[in-house]
Amino acid sequence: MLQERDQELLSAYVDGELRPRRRREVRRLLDECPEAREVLRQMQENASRLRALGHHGLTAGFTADVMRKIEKMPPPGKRPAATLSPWISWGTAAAVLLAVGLGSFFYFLGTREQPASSPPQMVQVPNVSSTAHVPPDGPGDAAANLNRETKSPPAPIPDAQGAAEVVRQGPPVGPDPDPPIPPNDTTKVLTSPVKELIILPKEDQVGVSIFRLLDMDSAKVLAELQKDATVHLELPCKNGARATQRLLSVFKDAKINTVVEQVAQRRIGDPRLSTDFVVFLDDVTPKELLGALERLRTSDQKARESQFDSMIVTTINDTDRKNFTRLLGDFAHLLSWERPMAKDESKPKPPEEQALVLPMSHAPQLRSAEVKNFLQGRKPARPESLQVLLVIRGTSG
Amino acid sequence: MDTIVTSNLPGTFVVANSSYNQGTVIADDLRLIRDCLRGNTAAFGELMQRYQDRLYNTVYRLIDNPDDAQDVVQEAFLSAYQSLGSFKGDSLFFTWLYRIAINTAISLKRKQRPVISIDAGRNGHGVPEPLDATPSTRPGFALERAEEDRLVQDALHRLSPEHRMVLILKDMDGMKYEEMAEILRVPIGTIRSRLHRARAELRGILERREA
Repeated sequence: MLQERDQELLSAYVDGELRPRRRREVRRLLDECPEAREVLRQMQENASRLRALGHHGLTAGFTADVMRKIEKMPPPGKRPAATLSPWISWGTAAAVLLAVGLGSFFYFLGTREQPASSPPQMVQVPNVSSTAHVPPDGPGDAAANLNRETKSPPAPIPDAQGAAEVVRQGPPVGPDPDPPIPPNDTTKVLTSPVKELIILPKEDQVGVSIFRLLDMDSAKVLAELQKDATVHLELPCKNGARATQRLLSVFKDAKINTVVEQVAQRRIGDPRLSTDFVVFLDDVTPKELLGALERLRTSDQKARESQFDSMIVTTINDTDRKNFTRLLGDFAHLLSWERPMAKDESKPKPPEEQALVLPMSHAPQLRSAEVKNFLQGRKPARPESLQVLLVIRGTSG
Repeated sequence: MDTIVTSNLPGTFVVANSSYNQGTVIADDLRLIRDCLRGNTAAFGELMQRYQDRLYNTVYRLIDNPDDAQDVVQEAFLSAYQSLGSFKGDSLFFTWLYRIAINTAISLKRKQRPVISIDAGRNGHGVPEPLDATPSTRPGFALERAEEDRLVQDALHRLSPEHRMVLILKDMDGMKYEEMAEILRVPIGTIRSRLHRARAELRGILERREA
């Protein structure tokens, strides 16, 4: 009886998806095993039968019908009157990325079950170091709320760090600025599916803190970083590749040794590509992380082109873990989220490599030996050290 | 004080270097998308013409109902049009479009009760145009062809949705594993094992029916 593994190889052989070494292995199997030849013949025959299924056509007039509907729709990506300032107006628009508790940083990997036709909701959350108290109805009401228009249009929220702006879908409110939103308003603002729009379920609103990198209060940031053993840090930026280059340079200065996965390396080297990155930091202390963020701030301030603005701090949750593990592809089994702690009296040193950089990818194909070595080489962590998922998310091309 | 967290993509995107298509996204698709984002809806019409038949055929095989399949494809194009501003260009347009269509088809199937259609072939549904337009002179050829199609389509429909999907994308649409992984959002290893199991399952079904 042909083994499962051999049958799987035969299937991939039919598809022409085997590497040369495996193809040779299959040919040897076919030479030696009549059963394998018969199974291959059946697979190829059935594949032909599927291909031979006739093609079905759309009814005449399909394209015209759809185009008629499209002509009545607003143009895609069109911003209504109350829209964000361009990127360069960081100083006047508090366009920050909200980190959600549930799977936010994989939002763009499409982990939502909603199809693209269902625009996500936007919710209001408290600013800076206050906890969020606004209870939205939750993502479960997304479908019910999809086509609801807000009766009293929300306003930009004045805050100490700049004016917030609102993006909305539907009839434009006109050239005037948005009227002010009453405090504690739970109005949902429906938008077209913009990149950074994230649903924040009620139960995940607590514990999200937003800071401006460029003028952050180090003491407050340190206090946030010390709250938990895990940190999920979102860094929206202008260009993912350039921002990650800057971060890597800062890590080098801060002596945080970093492993950069092969595809990530290629993409970091090409800012034309629209790539987001995730950095997994293991066994880094809150002070070490703060030190890196302070260096990043300085570096960004001195640079000709600033990349960063705000950062969002929360904790890693189960969905984050699940999705990051998926990014590891075939190496997923090497990552253990449960880490043993080193004994304090042994005065453990920081590990040789503390950071791993991966590109966000729909179809991760990790092959780097360095990644494998990084994951396999984890030692007991220092007391009070952190596990960090740091997400660099570009918001322009 | 409340904060609304937003940002927005600018109206530009870059050609991405996709590993599985060895370098470049189809530049012409991007040109049409760019034109559409600038207000030229006819550009979207051109994109539709490019992919609608292929998409329809895939969706039809998935849900085995021509009217529903047409609705799904229409919905997919409308959704794609609305979401066009969020297309980053780091995957092929049709991959992105397929993902929308498959999600729409899955949503549709979840809402519907299962309907068993015994005579779908004889009612005119499910009888496709022959791939080879040259008519055969052998009597009964068309009927035999229709019966074979119905046999294979029925067998396809007895597979689990996961298995059916991978066989359609691979054997009927000719996609590479990487493209399928991108559309279905699973690792390539999962595609490989699903295809193997799907083929084993299909083989068993066809053997039993033909016995």
